[in-house]
Amino acid sequence: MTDRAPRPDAPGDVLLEARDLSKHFPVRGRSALGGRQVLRAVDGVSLEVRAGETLGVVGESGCGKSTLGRCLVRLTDVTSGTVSFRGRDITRLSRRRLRPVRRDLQLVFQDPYASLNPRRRIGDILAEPMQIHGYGDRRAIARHVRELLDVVGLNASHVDRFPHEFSGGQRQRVGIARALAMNPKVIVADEPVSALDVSIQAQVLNLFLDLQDEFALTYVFIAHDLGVVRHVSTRIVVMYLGEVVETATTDPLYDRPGHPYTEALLQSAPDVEDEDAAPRERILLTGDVPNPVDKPSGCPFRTRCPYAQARCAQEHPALREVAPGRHVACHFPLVTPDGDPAPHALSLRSRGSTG
Amino acid sequence: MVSLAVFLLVVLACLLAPVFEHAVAHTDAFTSNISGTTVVDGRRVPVLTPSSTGLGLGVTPIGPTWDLHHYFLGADGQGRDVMARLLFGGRNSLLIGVLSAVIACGAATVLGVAAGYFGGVLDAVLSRLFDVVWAFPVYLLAISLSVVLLTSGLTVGPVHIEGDSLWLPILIIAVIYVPYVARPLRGQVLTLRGRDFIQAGVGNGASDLRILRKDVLPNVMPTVLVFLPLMTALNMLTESALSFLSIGVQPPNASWGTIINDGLGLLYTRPMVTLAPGLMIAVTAVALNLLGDGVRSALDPKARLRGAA
Amino acid sequence: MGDPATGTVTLHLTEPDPELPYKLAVPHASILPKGAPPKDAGTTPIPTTGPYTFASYDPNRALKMVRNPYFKQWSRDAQPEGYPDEIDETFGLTVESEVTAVENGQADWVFDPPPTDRLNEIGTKYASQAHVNPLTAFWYLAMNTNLAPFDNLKARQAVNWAVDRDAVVRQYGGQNLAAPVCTVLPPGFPGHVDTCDYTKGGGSTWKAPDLQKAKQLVQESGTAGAKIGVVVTDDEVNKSIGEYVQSMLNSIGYRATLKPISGNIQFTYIQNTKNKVQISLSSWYQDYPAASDFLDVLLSCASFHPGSDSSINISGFCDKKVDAQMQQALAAERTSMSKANTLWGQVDQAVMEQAPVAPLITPKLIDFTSKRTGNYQFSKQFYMLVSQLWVK
Repeated sequence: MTDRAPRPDAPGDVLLEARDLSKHFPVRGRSALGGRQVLRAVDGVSLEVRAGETLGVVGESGCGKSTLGRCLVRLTDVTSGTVSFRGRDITRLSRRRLRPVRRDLQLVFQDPYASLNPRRRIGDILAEPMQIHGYGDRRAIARHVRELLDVVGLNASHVDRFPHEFSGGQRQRVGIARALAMNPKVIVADEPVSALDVSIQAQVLNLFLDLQDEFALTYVFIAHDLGVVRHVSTRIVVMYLGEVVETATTDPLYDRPGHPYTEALLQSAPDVEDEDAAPRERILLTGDVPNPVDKPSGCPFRTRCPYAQARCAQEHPALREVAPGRHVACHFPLVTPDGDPAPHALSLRSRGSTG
Repeated sequence: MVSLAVFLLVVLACLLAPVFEHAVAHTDAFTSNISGTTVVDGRRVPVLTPSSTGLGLGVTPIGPTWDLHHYFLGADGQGRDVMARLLFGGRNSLLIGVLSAVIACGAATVLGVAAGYFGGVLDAVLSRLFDVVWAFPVYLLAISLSVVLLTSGLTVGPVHIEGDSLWLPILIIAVIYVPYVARPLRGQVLTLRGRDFIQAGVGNGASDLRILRKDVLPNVMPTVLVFLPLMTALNMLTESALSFLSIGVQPPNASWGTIINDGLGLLYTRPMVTLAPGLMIAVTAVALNLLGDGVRSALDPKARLRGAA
Repeated sequence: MGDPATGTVTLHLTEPDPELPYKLAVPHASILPKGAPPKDAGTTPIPTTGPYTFASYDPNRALKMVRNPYFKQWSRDAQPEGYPDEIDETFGLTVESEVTAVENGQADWVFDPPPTDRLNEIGTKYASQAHVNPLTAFWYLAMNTNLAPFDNLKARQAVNWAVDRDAVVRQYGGQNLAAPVCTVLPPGFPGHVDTCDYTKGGGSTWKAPDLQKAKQLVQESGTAGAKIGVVVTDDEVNKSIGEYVQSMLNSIGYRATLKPISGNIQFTYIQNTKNKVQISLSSWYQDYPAASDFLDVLLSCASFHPGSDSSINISGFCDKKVDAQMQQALAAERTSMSKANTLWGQVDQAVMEQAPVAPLITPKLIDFTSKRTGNYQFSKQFYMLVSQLWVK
């Protein structure tokens, strides 16, 4: 049974936490050594989500961020490690026990076309969480549905329409409304704007920000577009091949990446920087992303890392705090404990005095 | 729409069979009338007319008179009014077709959705079951079951079904076609299960039952509704084949299949006895198939948008 | 016992048997070599003493007979030489195609009875190729006197009153192929007396069924509503008569179902009491022209063997008084055939009062031969003489 009157969360409280979280998928066939092959979608991830913040999770396709998102909201079972919500371990709770948690912890899906049942009216879709959690009688629910539509910027009179009568951006708003229905504390958004046109993306992103202010929400924002993530996130987690390679607050991360992968990502992304930045040397990523089933030994990024040394193949780098608020999983991080660029960092940023 | 009208017309005509029998044709569709007489062009003639030329061998039933009150389509080998029997036979054919389709689709929905949604052992067991039943050629299985059950009837616990009851062909045909509907439904549910909106339901804390009821079933229902008329047609054809082989509907009950069988020995002299039920089966089956197509178009919510625009 | 020197065989009898010559003429009394197996020899032919011998036999395809090189005609009346050099029988065709084959001249004779719907055609377009001959035979409904509901006399009488023999005549092929009968002994047969116990309005010949009386008897018997299975062979004519009988039984107050059985097994099936057959359609064709061949063989206590496939008294009828009458008639045969026949007539009467059977029709036989076939000869015992046909 959940506590009916939770104490209000102070900003900075850890609401959602993952400890050494792993999710493995068995894969057909056997490796060269004869063992069963496993896809390590999420491989020993640890992170914290604090009240009021927006934690951005970035990485290329296949790095495991979507899987991580689903693990955090327990839409997938976890292979090992723990997920805790407001101090309570929810890793192995039954569906019945999880139900109260689901009022407070919600997911917004990526594909607006697949996340709404084409055969249900959106009023019915929005009413469902209220019906499940016993929000009130039919009139109260109907009223709240109209409120939700209003809040996300949709016309409340469209309650009886079917999803296919809305555009992609509007459908995504419905998805957000659904997540908001029971006034959650944490919303995990899994690439919520990736499937939308660029012009719509901005609108939906702004909606996210407005809602956060209005309802004191905490977000985990998963995306692959660095520009989008920067716009909404307060803190960022960078993932590669199922592992967290860097965690930092937003601006420092973009100004001075600590992990070679983060640096390469920023290099290959167009227009992430301020306009007045001087042009830099481009560091091209070499090679392809390795097969996640057959991860390289030691550091997973070493096969494409321009700074790789022998040690990188032998020893797996742990995620450690190399500077205040800055965690990097690298033997040769690109920032010093003061937050300055390390001597061996190739990309020289000329930004005036910002360290 | 036309197909629906045709189908309903057939159904109505068959439902009114007793009215036709008593009020219009004044005949008994189930009692032999070999020595009987009837009126044709004002004259009284025997229903089974002996040959009067040559050696005078053989007796021929009266042919179509096109007079609704007197043997409209002629008589069969037992002197019965073919038109009246056609209507009564239609009742049974339609009844068996519709009921077995409903039972098959109902069972297939429950089993197919359960197998697709829950997966695991349940799916493994059910899928193998479907495979086994479907591996038998349909008619072979139907014939085997019919031959065994028609002699002794079927007893399941406290329930006993007589050998000549209509329930036997209904259940046999329903059972053999369950995999035909269940497997595509299962496939559809498997696809659905991966769709995000199902996950969204789980994410809201919905129970399996709720997800099945509100998310899975509404998506599966259109498929089932399209299957219904198609299965009715298919089952009607199967029933006709079984009855034609004398292992479906048993006398004194009649169905279009049994009437075709009755007409076999009359093909040279009175082909109408075989042609009339054959034609009825064809017309009804075509109407049902077209109806199925119509239902499919009607249930596609996107089609409505296209049409309205 | 046999004497090779004189070439004679002597039979010693325990008592006089006036029917012995007949019995010797029946196919049962064929002569076989000493080593012949005492059971069904399957496809291995047994040597014959007649004008033809078996050349080949495939039970699924054909039987071929050719002239027996060792045969010498010793008596034209007893065993004449045959005209055809070769006789081929083909199996597996449907009757309809058999008829068509003969019409087209592809075959010379249809073995199975022609289907009803072709009779008209045969009787008109091919009348010159059709040969209709009366038979001493009858078709009848055998009712099991030891099983409900026909263990009740009134129920059996009801069936006799209710059955429309005219309808059965029509189902068989019309008046020119059958006639209604009321007695076990067919008309024209020694011992036959023209009486009819079960015709509407009374009389010596059958006129019409009396359904009212039949329904009344069913009610009185207390067997109304009983479920009855009518067992018939599954060929067209038998099935359609069976369907009529089912309809008739339903109309007098029973609940009848039809059970068609393959012709290969129906005859033995209905004889075996283990199968609990209540009523069946059967027929009897003379073995030889003696009343005992009908009455004694079909209805004496000695012919009833419960639990055996070979119990030709299908009704299971065993009445001591009637049996005694039969013994009397048999004994009388030794002295005076005419006196015996009168007694047989009385036996027939006595039997019909008990109504273990319902005689239906006496059939005629129709042979359909091809255009090129000539010299059609008919024997009451052996029917069409195949060996005497010639083809042009």
